[in-house]
Amino acid sequence: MLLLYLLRRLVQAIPTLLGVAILMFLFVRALPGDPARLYAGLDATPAEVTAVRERFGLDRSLPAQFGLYLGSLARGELGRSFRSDRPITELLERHFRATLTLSLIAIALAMIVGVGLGVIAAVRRGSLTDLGVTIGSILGISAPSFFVGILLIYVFAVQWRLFPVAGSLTWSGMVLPAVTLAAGAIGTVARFTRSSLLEVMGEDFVRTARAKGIHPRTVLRKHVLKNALIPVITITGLQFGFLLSGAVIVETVFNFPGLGWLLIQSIEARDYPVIQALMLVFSVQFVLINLLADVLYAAVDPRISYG
Amino acid sequence: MKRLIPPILIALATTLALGMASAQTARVAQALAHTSLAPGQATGLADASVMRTMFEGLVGFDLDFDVVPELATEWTISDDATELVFQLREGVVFHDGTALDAAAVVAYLDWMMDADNPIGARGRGTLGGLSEWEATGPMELTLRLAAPNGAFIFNLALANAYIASPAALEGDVPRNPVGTGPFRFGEWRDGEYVVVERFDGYWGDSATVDAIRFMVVNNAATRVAMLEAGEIDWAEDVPPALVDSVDADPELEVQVTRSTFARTFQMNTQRPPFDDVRVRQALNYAVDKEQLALVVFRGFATVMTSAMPAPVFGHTPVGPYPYDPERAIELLTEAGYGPGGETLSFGVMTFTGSEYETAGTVLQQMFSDVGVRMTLNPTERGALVEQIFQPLETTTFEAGLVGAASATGDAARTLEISFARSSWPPAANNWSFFEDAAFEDLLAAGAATGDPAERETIYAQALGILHEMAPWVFLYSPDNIAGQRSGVTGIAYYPNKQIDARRIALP
Amino acid sequence: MAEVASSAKPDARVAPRRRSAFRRLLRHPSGSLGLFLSLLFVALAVVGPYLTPFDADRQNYLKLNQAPSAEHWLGTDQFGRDTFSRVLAGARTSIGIGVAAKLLGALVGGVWGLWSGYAGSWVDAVSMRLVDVLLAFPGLLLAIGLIAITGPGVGPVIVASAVFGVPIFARLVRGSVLGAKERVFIEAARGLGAGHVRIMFGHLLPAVIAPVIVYATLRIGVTMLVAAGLSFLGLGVQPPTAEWGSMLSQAQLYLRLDPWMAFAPGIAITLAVLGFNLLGDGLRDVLDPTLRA
Repeated sequence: MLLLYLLRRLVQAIPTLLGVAILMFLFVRALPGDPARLYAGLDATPAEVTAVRERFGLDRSLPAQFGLYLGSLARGELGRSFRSDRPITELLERHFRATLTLSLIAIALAMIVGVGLGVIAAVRRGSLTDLGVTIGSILGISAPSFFVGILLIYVFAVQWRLFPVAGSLTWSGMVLPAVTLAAGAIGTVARFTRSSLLEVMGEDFVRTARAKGIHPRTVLRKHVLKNALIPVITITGLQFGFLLSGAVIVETVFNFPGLGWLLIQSIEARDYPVIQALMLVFSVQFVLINLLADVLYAAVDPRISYG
Repeated sequence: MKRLIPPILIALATTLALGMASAQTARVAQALAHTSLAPGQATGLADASVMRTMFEGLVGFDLDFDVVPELATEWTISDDATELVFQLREGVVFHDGTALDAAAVVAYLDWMMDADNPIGARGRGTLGGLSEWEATGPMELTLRLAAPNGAFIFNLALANAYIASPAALEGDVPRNPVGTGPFRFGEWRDGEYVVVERFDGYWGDSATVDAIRFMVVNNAATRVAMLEAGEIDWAEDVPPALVDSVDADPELEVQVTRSTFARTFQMNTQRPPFDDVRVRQALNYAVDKEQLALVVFRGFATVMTSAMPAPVFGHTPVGPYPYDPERAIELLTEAGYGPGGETLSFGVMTFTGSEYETAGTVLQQMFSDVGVRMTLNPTERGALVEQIFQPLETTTFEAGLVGAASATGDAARTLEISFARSSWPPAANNWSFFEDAAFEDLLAAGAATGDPAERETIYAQALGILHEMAPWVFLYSPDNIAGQRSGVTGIAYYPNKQIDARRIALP
Repeated sequence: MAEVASSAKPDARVAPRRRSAFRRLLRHPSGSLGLFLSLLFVALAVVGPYLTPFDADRQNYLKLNQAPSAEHWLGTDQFGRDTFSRVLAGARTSIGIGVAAKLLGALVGGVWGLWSGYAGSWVDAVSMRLVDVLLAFPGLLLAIGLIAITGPGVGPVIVASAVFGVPIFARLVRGSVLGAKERVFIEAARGLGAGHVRIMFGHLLPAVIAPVIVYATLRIGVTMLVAAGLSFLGLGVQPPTAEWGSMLSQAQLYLRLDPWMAFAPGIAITLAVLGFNLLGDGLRDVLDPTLRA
């Protein structure tokens, strides 16, 4: 049943992805800006620009270009970058690995701190601690990531010199960008943990356990947490999906070579093949994450069935 | 567990110390990513700067932008500026072991100048006019030009005219650079860094570091922060706003040098309101350039006294327009604007989030002080470039706050690309659509002679015409500012902002 | 998705419930703080530009990058403009853009969802596929593209920021409409000869508008962050307009020597967004009984 459902959803996603591919193909070409001129330079002669345009295949008609694009997609090829002349699969792999690593660290951080804060807030519901956690987590969601990033750079990299300024794929180079990314996710996870815990604590079996005289902490650990954490895992998964799409602003602030960074670079250069490939990756991720979320929701809530 | 840690630490420290002693790598931060390392294909300064460490030209520049010997030890230029004869340096080898002689250079030029070779397109632009190249002796090379060009020797010093090994022209040429320079190619991580390593067979003084890592760091504030954190040795393009901050750090210093860049306010001279020379002159009088340079560049800029920055060959001071708001109002009134007439209002395009936008904000106030209303339209680079390259029939260009660079360091190309009728968009960079018959005659006369004194006289007259006709508000030439760790030597900008890191030495 | 399902039930006792909800919001500690902050910043957006001690756009080259003083409470910027005045003047731009973009997104998305849900059949199927495409299409890229095409300015930033919300609202409203459509009163209206437009806006809209309002409030903060982010990337309003995102972006250069230039707009954005988010959070708590524990 589940397998059939998954299959049906994936088949349903094909028109969406095709739509994105067509839209993206037209969209990048509708952007003002000539890739050949940008590549050749402002002081290049018209002959130089024409030579570059031919090399990029932009001298062909739009339908011909689209045909070539679909043809290569059907063969599972993504083509080569205009700007660096590298195979796009190579670029994607490298930058995806960077973003993936960063997202994993950020989400782990968000999970540990967020669940911790959420549990504290739920246990001390109504107290000042609870209010503090609530406001603190919403503050994390509210602070613009570029402001958080700039503050972290100012304090930890410039004043105290604890971490490098520029992000990179080293442990120390990922701390500041990961913390910046986690700041928002911590808030979301903490809020979700709190409300989920409160919901479960209000349920009958918890009251029964408590009435039987089981120590509150044991109740919390053995009964409440286990049941309350499933939706938290779901929301964390969703957050992870968002992070994976490349955090453009955070990667810009920290000069971190991830997917968002690659996107900005490619837009600046009007590197059509790379932009198109990135969009396809993001869309596939989006579809998969949504599917995963629906499956997880269904797993959590038995009332939902795979219709 | 605890007892294990100290030995590990000691081992680690030893490894690190040994590593440092045995391989010294200089770390240089650049603003833009690299696209190709093949001479003839390099499009940007990022490429040219890395190529500088691996390649040499027949001639090169010194830091004042004067032409100096490199692979050629001496040369002669014929009086009619159509033939150049070079004596090549003895004992030079390429990184792949190929010996440098006249035949090798001819073989390379054969490949590069081939119209079907896509990699050489930029180089063929740089060497435009070159019609014949011939080995007239084992170490003697003769170049002939289709038309007189007194400035051709400057072009030969540019990155796209560097000489690569004729034995390395197969396969992935942009990523397999083989030259004669003191460093050889090491590794390239696209968008992140290029590493070059010392070449022990170099004919001249051997490099003092084992390798140079050219890192790409787009964000200027991040570059400076990396410098402050000790993560790099040299950073290009320090924003003037951060110079004080770098200066205040005892471990850092700034390098400030003159540049061949101009910052200009260009007006569409073919369309109202800027088809009226009085309006263009009025705006020149309305701008307090010193003040502008102070706010935008904290004084790290020189007010232009002609249409070209001072380090460009052929520059003669003919200006600047003094700051005189009353005169500006007078001229505007004559042209029918101001009290009694309509308000002069127009839009100006410029690059978003840049010093240009800052300058525009200041200009807005200076213009409004003489009753002129300017809308500032900061535009993303790709879109802006698309708009300014529109031909006159379709252009929406009223005015633009843009840069002008002198790539060659010589008046001929510098003036041609910005002011010749043949350079109207989309052909080249005459974005003000300037056209003047007397000026065109002078350009032709300047190209026809190789005599420096005569050329200077001709270009002085040309600059006089530009001053009078004022297609631009002539602003200033910003200094090249770099930051470095104190005690780093042997690395500097050329005036065109190409980095020469060949002799970099760390303290 | 959970929101869609739970808010789809129109309530006959809407009016009295709303009043008590407001009282509950006032007793909700973080919600009331959010209400207070939101009102404060909305008030600032209205009157802020009239309270500036200096002309927010007037440059003074004798006072570049000054530290806070009795005269300039938050110092001056790189043009010698009074930062306090610019933060006040920027309130209208920044909050105005956030609110306007949210309204626009809710309006366009709402009408889309209303029409799609009401029309049903293949129209609905196609239009919801289009919503899927839009959702999968990264909003930031769309925003960058729009601004590259239209050029800079307040209008383009509002449109670009609104784009993020359109598919979400379309889906939200369409879901509610599907629930409400089958109710008897629609059939009754149709029986009485009401036209499609009349039914859509006169009967369906009132039945589904409550969750839209709550959701819009919830998301004003997010939209302000999007708009500020665009400004930070250099795709914001034109100079010399004061706007917090671009102030922060410019202040980045001066962080070492003049950090207050970044602190003032950064804290302003954070507090304003915090206010709207706390308010939205509180609203959800008091209106959605499943989350009220």
